[in-house]
Amino acid sequence: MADSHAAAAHDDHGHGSDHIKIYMRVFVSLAVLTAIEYFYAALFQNAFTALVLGLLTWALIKAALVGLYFMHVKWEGKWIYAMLAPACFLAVFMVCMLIPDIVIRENDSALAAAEAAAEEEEGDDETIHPIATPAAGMPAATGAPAAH
Amino acid sequence: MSHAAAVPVDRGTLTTPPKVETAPVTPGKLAMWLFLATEIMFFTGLIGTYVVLRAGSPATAYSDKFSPGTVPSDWADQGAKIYNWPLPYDSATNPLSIDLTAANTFILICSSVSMVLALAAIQRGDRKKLTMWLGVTVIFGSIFLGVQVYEYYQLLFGHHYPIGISRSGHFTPDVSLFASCFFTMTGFHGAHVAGGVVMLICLFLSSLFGVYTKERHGAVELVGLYWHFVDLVWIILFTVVYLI
Repeated sequence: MADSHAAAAHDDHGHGSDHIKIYMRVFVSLAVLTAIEYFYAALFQNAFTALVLGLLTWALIKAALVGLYFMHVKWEGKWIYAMLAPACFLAVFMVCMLIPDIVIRENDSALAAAEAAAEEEEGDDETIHPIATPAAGMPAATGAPAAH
Repeated sequence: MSHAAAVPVDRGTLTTPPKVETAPVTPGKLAMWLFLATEIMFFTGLIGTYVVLRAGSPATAYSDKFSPGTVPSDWADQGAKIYNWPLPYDSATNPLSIDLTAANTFILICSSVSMVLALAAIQRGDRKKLTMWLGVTVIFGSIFLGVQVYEYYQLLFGHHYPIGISRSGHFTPDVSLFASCFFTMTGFHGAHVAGGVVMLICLFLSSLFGVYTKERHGAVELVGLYWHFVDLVWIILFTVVYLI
């Protein structure tokens, strides 16, 4: 019964055999976008901001195509957004809440360690600085080339 | 008049049918979307943690002349280049093969297309095409998994990488934060793909026995939703882990 209901629902919003052409267009679009991503990443590998913005744009377009057409979100009712919106919001919110705890604190500890190392260096040029691990927060290198 | 007014109304003889409100979605599809919502949070947690850890990684975490996390303070005097995270295409600090994985990404996209064609076939009532496209999807999914296993083998045992990647020469999860993040994210995704392939094989075998019809094919649609979601997640993972 549930399956027949599903079949009827499909007919209602019309994604049957007529949509094969749309699927093939989406497939070509995904293939082209993957190729664009590949060459874009090679071309902008030394320009970090352009790399991130461009690649995320291509990736989000690809993800949207898969979601809208292959997962049929485009043809579903509004109920689908009641599923997706809270999950997406909470997931992004959680990540944003991690930033002050990890990113800012790591950078602060790295800065403090660098300042401590600089003071130590002033006192004794022969001092060997301890080797830090990424988890503990390493001394920040001033004038670091290619560091993002 | 008064006699007619006193006659009780027999509701069973009313010609207008009672209005029945149907749900906009089947319980199975609702359950699958709820599951996918939890999967969104799961993978966003993994990817978000990766982004946060990368953003918080110290500027001297990686170098072309020292193993990860062991860069000395006089790295500049020793002519080393330092990075807060391995760069793509930099063979001195990053062991990942973008060429191989880009091809693998295309294979997973192909599997998504064959899956949606399988669903379209059974919606038309074409059982043979359903079986054929499900078989193609199983093959593409298996190829993706096989390539990932090959990649893991090369990273863990096959290649001997320079010091900037690993002190031991092998890219194991314990050599750096980048390595542990990489294996965690791609490992969980690979497990999802493996689960999807198992489900697809079950669908394929069921279709061989003619279980699915034009009117009854809910399982094909539900497994298809899961499979497309796995493809969608990989699109994001490939970009974030390999290309950026």
